[in-house]
Amino acid sequence: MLLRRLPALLCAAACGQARPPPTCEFAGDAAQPVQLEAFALDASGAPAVLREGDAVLLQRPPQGGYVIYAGVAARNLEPCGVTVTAYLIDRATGNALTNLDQRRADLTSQSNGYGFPAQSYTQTPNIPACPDALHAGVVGRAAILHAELTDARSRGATIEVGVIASCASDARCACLCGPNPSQC
Amino acid sequence: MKRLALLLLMGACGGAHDVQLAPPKEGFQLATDAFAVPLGQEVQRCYFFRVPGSGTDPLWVSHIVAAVNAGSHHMNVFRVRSIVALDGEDGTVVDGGECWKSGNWADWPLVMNSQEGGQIVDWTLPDGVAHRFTPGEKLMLQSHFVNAATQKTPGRGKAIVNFERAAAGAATPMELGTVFATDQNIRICPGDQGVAFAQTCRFARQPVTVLAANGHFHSRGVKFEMFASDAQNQAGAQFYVSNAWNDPPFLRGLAVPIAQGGGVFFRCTYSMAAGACADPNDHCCATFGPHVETQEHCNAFVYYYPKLDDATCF
Repeated sequence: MLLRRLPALLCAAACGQARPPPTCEFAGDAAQPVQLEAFALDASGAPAVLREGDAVLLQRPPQGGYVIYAGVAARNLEPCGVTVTAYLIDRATGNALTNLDQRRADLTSQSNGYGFPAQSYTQTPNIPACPDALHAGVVGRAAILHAELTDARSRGATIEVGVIASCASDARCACLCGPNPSQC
Repeated sequence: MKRLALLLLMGACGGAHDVQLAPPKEGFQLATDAFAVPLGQEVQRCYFFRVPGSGTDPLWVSHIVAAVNAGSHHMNVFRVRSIVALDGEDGTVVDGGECWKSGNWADWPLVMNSQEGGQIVDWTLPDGVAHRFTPGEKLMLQSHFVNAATQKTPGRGKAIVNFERAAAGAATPMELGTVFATDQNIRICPGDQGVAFAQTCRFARQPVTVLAANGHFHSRGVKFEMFASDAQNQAGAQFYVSNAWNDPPFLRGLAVPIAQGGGVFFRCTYSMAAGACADPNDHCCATFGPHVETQEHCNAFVYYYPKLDDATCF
């Protein structure tokens, strides 16, 4: 056991500021299926649980374009090292409306019985949305947020919730996320 | 190829170990000066050029040769579009500063890239496919050299790219299209093993064919994969894999069909030793950014035809 923990202990000493390892005990009832709640990050990076018809904010990441930070909180699972996949589906066609993002997360930040990602931006799917090379126009379009989760025991679940992508008051976003991004 | 080897003289003229490449008989050449890459530093320089010629007739290019000194981390050529805080006329060089800030070229379409320092990329496009340039259009060549812990530059920095005009033909060529895709929120920390980040980049409003690709990440990257993906974001056949972060293959001669509504699925997998340290101000973790020593990337470069839009996926 000590040998298994040795690398982490050494790093903690050598790196000084190395992050503490997450707490990874089973969260919830192992006899129950994995349960999910969809959420999106607001402009401040805080997660907001999504209900049918809610707006999801298109936000500008460091280099360019616009993404939607949206994923899942969960319970009844191994919370560390889960894989989360998310993208928007066009209600009108059934095809993907945005690109897909898939990443690992540690759902160790508890709220109302659900585990949320320990790190908001880097462990929440960054759904690449704009510019949309397919010219469907993401902003204001009726969509479904599709999210999947698989934990270390290969237990998984899927959730879908109706959403509408919003630019808030960002005019550049409204153009780049519209149907003619090459004209912006 | 033999002719090219003769043209690529290493150390015969100019500075020690500087690449040299004769300009194409028809077409144009972009070349940087030779610059120092001091020990312990990363140097990134942005060079601005104008495509030579006048008038409105396009210049079609079907043969590209890139020669870059050993120690190069990357060499990217973009078409200049929206100006934020990085610009210059023909001959301008921006050393560091704004040349590090990727938001300055967010909508600048990719022309060509090479990660093959000390080697040459000699790329002849398939018959009937060509890169289209307009006389006078502005290009930017970005050169990044590293001489630190993760990569070494034995001599100086220098990069040259030849764009050779396509042979005149009866038919207008099919235009080469490019895709640049990057995952902008990644985080790899000491002790992480096999941590993966994946995205799709859909760009095929019509069916297209991918003919070349390469992936880019830094020293924590252990595997870079690309797959064709469909209109439902589902990954299909794998067409690219790289296990060498500092010498990723630039696959050419591909013929990967991309269905309408589809694109590429790309995945970067990282590991970091428990005792390693990237950014000491962020728990020794590596997050998105251009600095090889302290940050990470997950960038896909894809070339296809026929061109639709200039595609970038963020």
